[in-house]
Amino acid sequence: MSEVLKVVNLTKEYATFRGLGRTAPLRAVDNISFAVNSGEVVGFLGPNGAGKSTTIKMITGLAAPTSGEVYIDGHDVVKERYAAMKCVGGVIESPDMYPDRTALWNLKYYASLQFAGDKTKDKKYIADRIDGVLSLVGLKGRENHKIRTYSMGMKQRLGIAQALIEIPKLLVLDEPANGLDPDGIKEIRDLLRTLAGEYGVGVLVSSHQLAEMQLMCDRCLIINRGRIIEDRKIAELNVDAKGNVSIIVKTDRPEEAAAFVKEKFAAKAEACEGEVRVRSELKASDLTRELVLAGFNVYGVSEEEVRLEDLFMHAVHGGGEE
Amino acid sequence: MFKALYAGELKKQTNVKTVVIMAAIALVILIILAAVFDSVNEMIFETNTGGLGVSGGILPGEGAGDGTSFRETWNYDETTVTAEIARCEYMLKMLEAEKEEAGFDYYRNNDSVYYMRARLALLEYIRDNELYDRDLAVYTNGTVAGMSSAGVTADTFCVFALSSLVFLVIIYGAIAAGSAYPDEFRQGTVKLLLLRPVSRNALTGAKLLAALTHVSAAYFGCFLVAVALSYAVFPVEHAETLYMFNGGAITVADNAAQIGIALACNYVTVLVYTSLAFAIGALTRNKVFAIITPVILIEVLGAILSMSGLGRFFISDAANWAQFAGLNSTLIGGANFFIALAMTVLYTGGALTAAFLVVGQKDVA
Repeated sequence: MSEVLKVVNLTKEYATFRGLGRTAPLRAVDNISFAVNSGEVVGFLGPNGAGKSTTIKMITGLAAPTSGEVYIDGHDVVKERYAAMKCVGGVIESPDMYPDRTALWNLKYYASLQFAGDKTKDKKYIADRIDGVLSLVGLKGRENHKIRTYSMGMKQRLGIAQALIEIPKLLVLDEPANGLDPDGIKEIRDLLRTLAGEYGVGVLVSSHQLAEMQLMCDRCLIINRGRIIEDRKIAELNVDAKGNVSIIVKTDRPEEAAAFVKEKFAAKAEACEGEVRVRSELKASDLTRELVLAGFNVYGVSEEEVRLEDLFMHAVHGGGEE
Repeated sequence: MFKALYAGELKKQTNVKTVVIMAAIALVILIILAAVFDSVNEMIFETNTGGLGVSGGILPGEGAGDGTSFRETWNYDETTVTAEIARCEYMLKMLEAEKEEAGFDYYRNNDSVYYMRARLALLEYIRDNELYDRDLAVYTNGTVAGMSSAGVTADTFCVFALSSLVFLVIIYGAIAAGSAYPDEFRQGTVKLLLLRPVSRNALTGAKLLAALTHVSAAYFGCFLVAVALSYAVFPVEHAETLYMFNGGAITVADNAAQIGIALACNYVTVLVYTSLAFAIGALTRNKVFAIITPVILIEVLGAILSMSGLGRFFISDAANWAQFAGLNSTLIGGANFFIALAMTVLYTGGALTAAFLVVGQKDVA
């Protein structure tokens, strides 16, 4: 997998003023670095004011970095804007289009800019692409309606459609599930998974819908106060930074079992309501075998499900920066 | 790329409702002008000449002699012209000495030296080209266009109509250009636009060019209607026409040239105000401010500065090129074509340069 997005020591400061005097600049994004690979869906999470939007704007060239670089498919966004933007599709903050024009007009307009100067993309190709993306997002038959008559969900779909007029190498989406019903959310999720899986598109998606992000993403970045405080694969949410996993064992003598585990494995273990909660690098199968051999009756073993929401809350509010 | 941007901007800036309203207002103005022009012309002519049929003195000794004159039809023989040249040369020396004594070395309002030079230049032109014993329509810098002692003709009406419609076209241009960037920010569409592989400078250039195209279409549309109405309502009177230009160059022009000069002068004003509205819109991202500033604030500030004698250094007076083609009732205080040209380039170029620089660098909030 190649890096379609590479962010290197990116910093954004805003000048602040008090009265006529200039005060210390506000650092909205503080020296962050990360990458998104092709075929990877990366969630970009953070509380309001954490620096998500500023980062996304710098990635897409809407805001200039104070320092640091952004490379899209190897092209510097500032120095090689044309080549970099040719590889990007996206919806930033909201899918705003020209409200007094039809969806078809809007798509044709964006296509004319996207394919300008490319003589291999003739009118038929563009018409087919527009037809294709309209079908993909379920707006076929509504393309001749003015945007102002569209619901928020339809606007979201159209926003994604315009981003896919040319299959991008990097897709940047800001709150793509806003205004969508559950079916629509699932369709968007499936669409993003398809784009990543079949077309190798790298997707950076920002959202506050953590449960949905857990289903949608391969990896998540959590930003707070301008700094990346977590970079975790979704499949490894259960594993903390030290490689520990929480295992819950149902047994007949939980207090004794907890003491046994602490003594034998030097692991964290605590008993409560007929269970022992063990946090260690042990595998569940190894722990079960040792408990049974030690004479405990084991009625059930499971790995604790760590939700993205738990990780987010812990990272943002529970000392994740340390 | 630029072609695609320009084509898109042309379509985006086409507001059918605004066009229809503006066209209707323009048509009503033209019809009213056509209906009342003849009688108004008579009235003003009578008021200004006391019914003598001679307006304020292009020739020394005629009329009020204060330099505020109308279009006149001259028909002089060689003797008269020779005598007047001698008289003008004498008076010019006197006036230049007076001016030097007063410490002025530039033009000022109703500058007698300026007008005397112009009169002399006109007379010399007639002598050199032997334009004796024939009707000559004479325009000076102090002429109210179309208010002609020779009566209303298609050309005089057309020039007057164009001068009257120019403010309407300026408003239309300010709306089209002043909305170009603010609308993108208000609707939020600028973000998706800049996500395309387009340069910000190309986008700004395309928007400006589209706005100028729109206002040009509006202006020349008004021109065509004005010409058609002029020749339909008023009879054509042909006379060779002399224009003074900043007290220097003189050309003999026919009616078409008269219309052409009026058209070109007002067109410059329209382009300047459209560009300023565009630049202010791009810089402030505020549509109302962009539309109001050039049309109202600049005019108000310009009027105040004019009173203080500094008007020639401000855009409202400097962009008023019509004054140099005799389309204003009086020349603006201290007006000089080359100062006006420099100020027009300075203000318009400065505002547009600032717009390009700021749009090119500023973050999209």
